[in-house]
Amino acid sequence: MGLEIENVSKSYGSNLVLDAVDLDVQPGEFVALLGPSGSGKTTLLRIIAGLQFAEGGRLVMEGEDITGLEARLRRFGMVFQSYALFEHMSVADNTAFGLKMRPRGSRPSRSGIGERVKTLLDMAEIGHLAERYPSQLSGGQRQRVALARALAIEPRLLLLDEPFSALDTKIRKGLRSALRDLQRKVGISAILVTHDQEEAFEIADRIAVMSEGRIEQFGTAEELLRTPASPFVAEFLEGMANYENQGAGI
Amino acid sequence: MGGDAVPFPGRRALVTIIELPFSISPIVAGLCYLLVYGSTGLVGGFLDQWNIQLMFNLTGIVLVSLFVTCPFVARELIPLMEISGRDQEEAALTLGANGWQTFFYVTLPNIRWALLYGAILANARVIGEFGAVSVVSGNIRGETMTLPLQVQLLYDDYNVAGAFAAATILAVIAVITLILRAVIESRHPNVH
Ligand SMILES: Nc1ncnc2c1ncn2[C@@H]1O[C@H](COP(=O)(O)OP(=O)(O)OP(=O)(O)O)[C@@H](O)[C@H]1O
Ligand SMILES: [Mg+2]
Repeated sequence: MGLEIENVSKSYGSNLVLDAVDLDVQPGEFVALLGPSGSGKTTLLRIIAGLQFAEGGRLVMEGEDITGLEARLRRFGMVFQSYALFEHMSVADNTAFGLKMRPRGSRPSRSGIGERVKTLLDMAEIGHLAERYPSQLSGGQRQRVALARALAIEPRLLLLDEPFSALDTKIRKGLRSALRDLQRKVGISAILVTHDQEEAFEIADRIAVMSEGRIEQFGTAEELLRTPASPFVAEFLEGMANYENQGAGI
Repeated sequence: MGGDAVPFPGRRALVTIIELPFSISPIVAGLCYLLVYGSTGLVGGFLDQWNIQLMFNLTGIVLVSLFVTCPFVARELIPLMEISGRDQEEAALTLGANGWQTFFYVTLPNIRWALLYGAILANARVIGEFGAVSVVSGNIRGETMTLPLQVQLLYDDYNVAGAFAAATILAVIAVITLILRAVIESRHPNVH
């Protein structure tokens, strides 16, 4: 169960960007897509989200084939690198958006939405910012709003595209553990795109190392370090051996 | 989002068509409309069989005015929408919004000032429009008159005072437009 990605390929013209990618995410698992710039991480994440479509292969979520399903029907929460907050809405309205868009039958009552928004904002530790507008927030605060907004729809899967790349190192570390805690608390599966090895090692249960549209290796941090599947993996993770020796994150 | 902001094929041609009215005389635009939509024209002849007449009435004036002014609105909107990209729309989709909801709750509020600004410019242009409208309106007194056409009519009737009065109204509308434009520009400097 969970998400299964089978043999997904995608090309732009003659440029093969994803080459027969296989990946699976177990329920409640946190997977990181790790790879250098241009390796196809964002493309894969957008295909999972339904914002782009593959030329070949299959996506199966909880046994249901979702290969051609529209993004809005997938119920996957996405956090964009640019945050993509609705600039003309308050933090509370941003967070409520997904619930307000539901068809009348499945839409919670107004007070129900209000309560849910409050719970989410408190969980993301931004309850006091509910009435602010995105332009009045710091980068880290925006990131938390984006996360709360994505979680509001009770997603089946959380997708994050380099969510911390625009933030400084200190805030980044705090947000990382906040994200991990939140994900555990909600019990949701998550896929995080990053090119930061440390981030992947600290946050993920399993890591998929990508290069030039292929997944070079998919396994736990320990497996990647002990038995790298290719010279690329060994080289790309060079320097992380120390990290393991310190015993952090594993 | 970078990756997907690739212009779709035919974008250039479309932009050229939208901006065409900038580069041709409005009278030519009016004549083109007459040729295509007039009762002997390609489309007009067909519509004529169904007793639908587009020229020499209000519909014709509105159509040709739209043609002449839509580049003003497009010029305001296209750059803004290019800068803001598709991120917010995509976020709305992943949150479960359909196309209409995305447009009404996300796209439209984001472009509302540019839209208003474009509409004001278009309005200024259309109120003063003479060439294209004079061709398609048929100059039917009391029916298909616009202010500039009225000015000419009065003048041709040797009613100089009347012509100046009508012209003054035009000038006043122009001034109001300028004021509105200045107000929007000062409140929302990033619109233009
Ligand atoms: N719309 C597009 N048209 C053409 N090529 C594209 C498009 N989007 C992405 N690509 C190409 O696909 C490849 C993979 O891009 P992708 O954005 O998935 O990489 P990435 O791993 O996310 O990189 P980064 O870490 O820089 O974000 C790149 O070579 C890129 O140039
Ligand atoms: Mg990317």
